[in-house]
Amino acid sequence: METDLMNIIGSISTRDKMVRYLDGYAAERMEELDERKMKRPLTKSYLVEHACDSDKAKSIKDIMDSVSVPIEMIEEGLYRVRDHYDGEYFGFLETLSPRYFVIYTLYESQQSDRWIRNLILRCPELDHVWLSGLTFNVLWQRVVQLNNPNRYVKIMFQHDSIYQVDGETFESEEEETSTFPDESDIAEIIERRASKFSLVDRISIVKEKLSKLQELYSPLYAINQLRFPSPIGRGGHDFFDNGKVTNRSGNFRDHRSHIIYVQRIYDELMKVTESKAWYSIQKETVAIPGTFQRLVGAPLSIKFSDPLSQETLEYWLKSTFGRLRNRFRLWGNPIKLGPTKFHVYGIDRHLWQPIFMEITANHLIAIIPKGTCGNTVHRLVTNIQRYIDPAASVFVGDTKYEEMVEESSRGVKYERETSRTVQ
Amino acid sequence: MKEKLQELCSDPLFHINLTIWLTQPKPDNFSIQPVLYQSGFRIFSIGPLLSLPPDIRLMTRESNIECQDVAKPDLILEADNRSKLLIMECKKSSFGSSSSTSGQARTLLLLSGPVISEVLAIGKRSSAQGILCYFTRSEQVSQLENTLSTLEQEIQKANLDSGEYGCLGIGSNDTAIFLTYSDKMRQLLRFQSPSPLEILSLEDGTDPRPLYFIPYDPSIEQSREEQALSRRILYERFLSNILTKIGPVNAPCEVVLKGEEILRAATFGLYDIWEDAEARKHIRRLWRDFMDCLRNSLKEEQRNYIKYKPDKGWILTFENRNVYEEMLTQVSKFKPEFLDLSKPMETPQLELELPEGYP
Repeated sequence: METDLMNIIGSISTRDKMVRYLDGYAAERMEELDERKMKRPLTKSYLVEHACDSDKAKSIKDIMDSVSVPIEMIEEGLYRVRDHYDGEYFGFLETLSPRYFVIYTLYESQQSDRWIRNLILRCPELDHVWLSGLTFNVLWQRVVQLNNPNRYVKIMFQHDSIYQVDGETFESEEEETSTFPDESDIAEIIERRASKFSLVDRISIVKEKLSKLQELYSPLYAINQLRFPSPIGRGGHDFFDNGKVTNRSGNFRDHRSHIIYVQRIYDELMKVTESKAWYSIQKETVAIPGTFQRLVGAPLSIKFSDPLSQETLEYWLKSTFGRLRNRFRLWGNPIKLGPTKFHVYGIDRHLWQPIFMEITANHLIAIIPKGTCGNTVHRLVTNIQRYIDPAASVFVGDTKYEEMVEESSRGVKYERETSRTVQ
Repeated sequence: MKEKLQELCSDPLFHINLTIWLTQPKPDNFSIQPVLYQSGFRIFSIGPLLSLPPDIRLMTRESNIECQDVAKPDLILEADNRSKLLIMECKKSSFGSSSSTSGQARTLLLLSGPVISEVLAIGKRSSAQGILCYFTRSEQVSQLENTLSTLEQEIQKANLDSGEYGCLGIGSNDTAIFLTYSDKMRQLLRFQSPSPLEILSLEDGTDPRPLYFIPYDPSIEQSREEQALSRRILYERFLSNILTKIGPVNAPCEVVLKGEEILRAATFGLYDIWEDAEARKHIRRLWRDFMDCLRNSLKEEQRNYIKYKPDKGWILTFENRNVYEEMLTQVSKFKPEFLDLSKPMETPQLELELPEGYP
C-alpha cells in the first residue's frame, strides 16, 4: 500500500474520521471509474463470522492474538489491523456484533482476498459469511423491493462441475484455496460444465426473466454475486458468496449500511438454522430415578435436481474425504453402503465440529450436533450449489431453506444509515 | 442381499434408529417417510428408566404377577401436547407369556396404563393416554400380540389396568422396507394409510439403513456382522470427537482426552443413561482398545507424545507446531475400518479395580 495511505490509516483516531475518509475515498474512486482511470483500488469489505459457542466467545483481540495479527483499538468496536508478516496496515476492523465483524481494506482484490483467506484458514474460530445461491435469490427479491425498477442490477452466476468425470481429472490442486471468485483478467480455458457469467440489466427486466431462465438453465440458480444498487447515486455494493463486498458506489456510509443489513439477515438465518437443526439430547430431570433424555433437532436435507452419476459421486467423495485439505473442508472416512450410498460420521474440518452425513446419488442428509456452527450448513449449501448441483433443493426439517431466508430477511428492516454499533 | 435385509430388519439397533428417523421432520417423498412425525409424534425420551408407583407394586406382589419394579423401554414418543404417550420397545423376535422377557412386558403394559402421566411426572394419573408398541419383524407380530393379550388378561384379573398395546412389524420385499400394523394400531397411531406402509425404498445392492443416531448398545443382541458395523460407526465417532479436540488448539499445548467425555459425545449422551454396569464397562473397553490401536498406528516418534494417566485420561503433548501438525495428520489418516471389529472384549482382571473414569 502507498506510504501516504498507510500514514492516513495510522492517523485515524475515531470512527467518524474513518467513515469521512472512506467516504471521500469512495467518491474519488467513482470519479476515476467514470474516467476509466483507476489510480487506487476500490474499498473492499469482508464480513467474517466468529464461529464459536456464544458462552465461550473470545474477544476480537484474543482471536487476532491467537493468529498473531496485531490490532490496535481506535475506539470501542473499531480497530486498525496490521499484516502479521510485514507489520503494515491492512485496514480497519469493525465489530458488528459479538459474532460478526467486518474488515475494510484498500488493497487490490488479489492481495486482500489472499490475506482474508489466510486469516480464516489459520483460525478455526473464524469463517466467511456464506451467502448461498438460494440466499442470494431471496436477497435479489429485496433488491427488487428496495429499488426503482429502472435501476440497473448486476448478478453473477458461477457453477463449476469440478467433480464431473469426463475422462480427465479437472479439479485443480488449489483445493480449498480458491474461495474467492477471480476478478482478474486471466481467462481460463475450461472444457467441462462451467458456467460463469454476469448479467447486467434493468431490475424490471431481470425480475420478469430470471426465474424463467433459471427453470431453463439450472446454473442460473448458482448466484454468487449480487449488486445492491446504491440509493444515493450510481453504482452499488457487490456482495460475493463468501461475504466479500466491493464498494462500487461513491458513498461509504451507504456501503456500510448495506453490509449491516445483510449481516443482520444472515445473523437471523444463523439463529433460525441453529434453533431448528441443532441435534441434542436435552436432559429433563423428573421425580423418578435417572434423567430423561429428549432428542431435539432436525436434519438438513439436500435433494439433487438430477441424480449424480456413480463416477461423479465417487470422485466427489474421493476428492473430499481422500484429502485432508479439500474444498468442502470436511473430514471423514466414508462407510460404503452401496454403489451410490455412503455414510460419513465426520467433522467440519475448518471449525473442527462434528457433522454426520448420508451422501447418495440423489441426496445429502446431514445431522448437525448441537454446538456445530450454523455456518457449516451455509458453507455446505453454497458449495453444493457451486460445485455439485446449482438447482438442489434444501430443507432443514420440513422447512424449505429459502423460506428460512425469507423469514430471516422479513425480520430485518432496511436501514439507509445505522447508528454506531459496538461490541 | 435378501438374507442381509432380513438380518437388518431383525436388528433392534436398526429398529431404534429407524424409529427415531420416523419421528424426524423431513420434506415429502424424500428418503425415509417420517410417518410418526406426520402423525404428530415426537421423541419424549430415549431409554428412560421408569418405575412402577408403590401402590401398583404392592398389588402386583399380592396378586403374584411376575413383573419388574422398573423397566427401561427403548423410546417414549409424545403427541397432542403430551396427552398421548407411546412406549416403544424393540425386539428381535416374539416371546412367550412365561419367558423371562414377559416380566418386562407386564411392567411396560402396566406403565402404559393410567399411571403413565404420573410415572413420567407430567400430570395426574389418567391425565394421558398410554400406548405400548413393540417394534419387531412383521412375521413375529401375531405371536407377540397374542402374548401381550395373555399378559393383559393376567393384569386385568388382578384388578390392574394396562394401556392400549400392539405391534409395528417391519418387513421388506423386493422394492421397499414396510411397516405392518393392525387396524387398531393404525387408529392409535393415526396412520393415514392401511398396512403395509412403505417407508423406505430399496436400491439394488444397497444397504437401506439410515444414519445412526445411536451407534452402539452393548446390551442389544446383534448378529456378528451388525455388531461389527455398529462398532465401526462407534469408532468413527470416537475418532471424529478426538479430532474436534485436537483440531482447534494452538501448539505448544496439551490436549486431554477424557474417556467419559468422548463416550458421551460419541453415543449422543446415551453412555450416561446405560445403567447396566457391564454395558458401561464394555464400551469403556472398546474406547481403551481403540486408543491403544490408534497409538500403535502412529509413527514411533509420535507415540512419545501420547500417554495415558489414570487420573486424567489420554494426554497428547504438542511441544511445537510441527509435532502438532504431524500428530493431526496421522490421526486424521487413521482408518477404523481396518481394526478387528469383531474382537471379543473380555474383562481383564485388572479392570475390576479401575474407577469409572478409566477410559
